[in-house]
Amino acid sequence: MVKKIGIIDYGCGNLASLHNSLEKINCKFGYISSAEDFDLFDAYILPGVGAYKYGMRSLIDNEMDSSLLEAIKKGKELLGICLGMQLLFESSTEGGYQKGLAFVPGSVDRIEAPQGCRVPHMGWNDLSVNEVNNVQLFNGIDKESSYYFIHSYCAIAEKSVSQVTTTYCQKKILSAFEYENISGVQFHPEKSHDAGLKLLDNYCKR
Amino acid sequence: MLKTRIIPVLLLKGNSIVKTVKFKEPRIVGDAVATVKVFATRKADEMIIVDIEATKRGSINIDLIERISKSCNMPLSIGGGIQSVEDADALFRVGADKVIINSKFYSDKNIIKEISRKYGEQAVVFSLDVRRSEVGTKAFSNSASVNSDIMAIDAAKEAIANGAGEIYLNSIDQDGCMQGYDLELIEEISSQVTVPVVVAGGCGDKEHCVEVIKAGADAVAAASIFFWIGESIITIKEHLKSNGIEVRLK
Repeated sequence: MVKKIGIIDYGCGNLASLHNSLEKINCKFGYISSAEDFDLFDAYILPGVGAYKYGMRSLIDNEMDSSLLEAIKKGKELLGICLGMQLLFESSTEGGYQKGLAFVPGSVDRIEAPQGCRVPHMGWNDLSVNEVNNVQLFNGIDKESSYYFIHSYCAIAEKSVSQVTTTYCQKKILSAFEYENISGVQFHPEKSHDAGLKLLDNYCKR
Repeated sequence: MLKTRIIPVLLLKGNSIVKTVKFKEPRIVGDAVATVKVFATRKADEMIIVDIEATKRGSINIDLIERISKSCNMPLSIGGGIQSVEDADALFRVGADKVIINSKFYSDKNIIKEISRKYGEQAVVFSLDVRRSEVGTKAFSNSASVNSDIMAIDAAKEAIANGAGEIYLNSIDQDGCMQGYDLELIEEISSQVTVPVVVAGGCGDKEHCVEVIKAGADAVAAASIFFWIGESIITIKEHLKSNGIEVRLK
């Protein structure tokens, strides 16, 4: 069976780039713009360019938070990208405390930068090669590939979550995870050339 | 480890890409979509695309930005003529990762605050066009035609305080001259801010890129070196690498 992916359109995101990428890998997909649309799809992508508070409010206002939770409970798969990944955790401090979707144990906080270190973390970074195998999304991708990061806040997940990190400012930053039927990436696969396309392909076709 | 970014700067005039000298004399170097496609396949880490007529014209060519975005899956910073959050909404929707704010900031500081509150500070770039004089380094707006009379560093700090997540620093007097970046200026600005600083204006040789990173820039932006010198992004990256600077080659 070919999976049909639902891109959650909650008014926060760079949908055009994701759209182009999924077309390139011949993925079957459509958009979810209301709470009723969730049943039409087999798996989901929660994208996101945006601030945490704004994103979470948009999900709640559109009543998508509860529909998504129901779908997850049924065992459907979900991939969060950037802000979409962060929203899966319990909370964030961006713009003041805000509760998240709380599908994954952990929380989001500002990147702690020592003197001389820039925030946002902006640009291409590689992943810890020893950890890449922790997350199946990276199957078949060159371990030394770089991915495009653009964020000021990062998630800290509990140990029960399978994780891959990247190093920035001598600190390990969560870059990808898998937890039951949920996965997430902090970087933008839709902006990360061939490695990013392959990752999306792995998600859409597994 | 984070790689040093090499960023081609593409100035739009109509459907063409142009290159200026000291922000004047725009000369056509190619078709917009075709040029973007070429850079995308040659390891550009991001692209800066600025419509230099948008503010004067009073509109943004969303259709062209959409066509550009569709032709490449790579990070794009888009600027020129952004007057409101709605303008930013339209650009993010068609594929921008960051929006670049310049002229509007000088009449309305809230423009950065409002976009940043909705999209996060990482999505807002403050474009700082500067010119040095006996009375100090001043920030200019409207394609270098208006002197804000604000010190460059003060403009940078105020933009950051309002929620800008990156500074795109351009030396008006070095633009298009290919004589090297204004290193003193870069040291002055980059040492006093905590967000990444992307530097443009003056690149004419691979070695200039090494100099600018050593002076404190986080990323190299350039145009003439690609259009007039014929240097490629890959040869620049190899040169940076041989000087101990981390770059993305695969």
